[in-house]
Amino acid sequence: MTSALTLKELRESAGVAALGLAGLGLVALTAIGFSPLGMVISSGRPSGTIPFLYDSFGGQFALAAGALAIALGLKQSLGDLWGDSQLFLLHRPVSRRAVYLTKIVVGLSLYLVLAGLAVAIYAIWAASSGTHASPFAWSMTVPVWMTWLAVGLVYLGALLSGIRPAAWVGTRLMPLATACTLATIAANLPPVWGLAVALVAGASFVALILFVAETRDFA
Amino acid sequence: MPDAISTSGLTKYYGQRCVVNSLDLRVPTGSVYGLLGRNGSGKSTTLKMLLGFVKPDRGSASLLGEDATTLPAATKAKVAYIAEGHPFIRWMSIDEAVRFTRSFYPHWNGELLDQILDHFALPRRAKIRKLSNGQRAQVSLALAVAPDPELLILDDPTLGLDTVVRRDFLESLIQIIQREGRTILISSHILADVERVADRIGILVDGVLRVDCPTDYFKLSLRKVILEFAAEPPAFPACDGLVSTWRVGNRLEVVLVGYGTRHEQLIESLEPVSVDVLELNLEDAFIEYTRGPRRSLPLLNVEARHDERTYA
Repeated sequence: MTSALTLKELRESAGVAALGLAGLGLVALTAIGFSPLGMVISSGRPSGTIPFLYDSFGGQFALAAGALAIALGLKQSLGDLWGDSQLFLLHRPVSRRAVYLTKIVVGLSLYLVLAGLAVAIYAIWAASSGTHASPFAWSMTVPVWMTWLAVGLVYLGALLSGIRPAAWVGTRLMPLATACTLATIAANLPPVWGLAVALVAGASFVALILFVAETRDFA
Repeated sequence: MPDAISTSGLTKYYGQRCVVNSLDLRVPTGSVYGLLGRNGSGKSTTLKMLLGFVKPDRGSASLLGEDATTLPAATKAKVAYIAEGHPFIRWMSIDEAVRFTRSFYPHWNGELLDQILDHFALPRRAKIRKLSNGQRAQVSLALAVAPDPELLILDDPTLGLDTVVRRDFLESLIQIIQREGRTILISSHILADVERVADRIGILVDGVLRVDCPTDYFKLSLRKVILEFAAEPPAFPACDGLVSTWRVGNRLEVVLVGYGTRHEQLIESLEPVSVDVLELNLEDAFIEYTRGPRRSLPLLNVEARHDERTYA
């Protein structure tokens, strides 16, 4: 049962995940200097940059990871609401809590793995000797890892926006806007405080998603 | 034997509009109950409240003895539901939908499922999104009965199907009913469908259950009485069983349920020139019961328009 739900979520998120991987891969490869779009835009690393400290990777990564997180959250929530497939799904002998917990686990895992892969590729490249003429220490990657974790909140906010009934688009997007604000705060706080904010906010979002899923009408 | 479905004062508002109003419904175990009503009368909302998709604002409902709002998984496994429009996860093939659905149920009658899919010659590898409405209805039926449910709830299952597919679908349903003696609640606005399968009917009018009786009793007890008068007809007095009245010139049409001696006496007291009592089939009875004061557009009903002009 859980594996059937997991496979369903993976299958339905595959398209968004593939696009996200392509986007994040492009960001990582561009930062390294091997941009596949180099023929069109530019190639090579700009001189005077230091990986993770003085380069554009952090900002580009935040945008690409945020886009992936929003797309995944909305796809997982609105995908079932369109076409009434939630009536097919939610009538099965399984609780709504289990259905939505599976969605969260699959979606969050996909986001963390794909976005983490992009950071890891760039970090491993930066840590390899002879790849660039600048200093590197693993501690330099911490702010980007904090961004990676904080953008997970954006995924949860998007999922909550998708399943939460609201009269108009402004109030519907309120959880997503809140999540973006909290993610920005968490990513810019000192790591320990940022981690605390991300974890507390993340747990609150998960609780809210499960509460909405269990109490809302699926008319 | 306890009722398979029972509701008490079940009420639902959407905004200010009351879509289901104080519904008291009992569906005895082993019966086939047809829930009738026009579009927007509250049928689908009622079924969704029974299944826990929609939370009632007031009242309670129970399915197989359990509170409908907190149905445990074990009870849910005994209840099959065919939703209006036969929704599926559309990227799945029939085989994938079967495997997905089977994973949730402790009991699965694969033989029956295969029989139904083979009977309808459904291609197992076909994607659900590429099937016709009729084929999706057939897959819905197969998946609904495969877990051997005790209770089937069908929300307008023949909506959008052509006559032949509708007939096939209903005949398969009848065979399934006869085979297992299950309880079935079927909502529809296609009267002929319900007449074929239901031994008891309920009619919802604007969210209120106006009729709840055996199908045959409803057909036999409803009469349309046409009274002709020499001059303008009097108003028909309020009485038990009065469904509707309609004046056309010097003619008064009255629809009465439970037509009997007391109605005959009342009619005689009005001293009409002539009295014509008509029996109604289920469709006519349903129309008379649910249409309300609005009739055919005079522009489209030349005869009626002529009548009105002549006798006004």
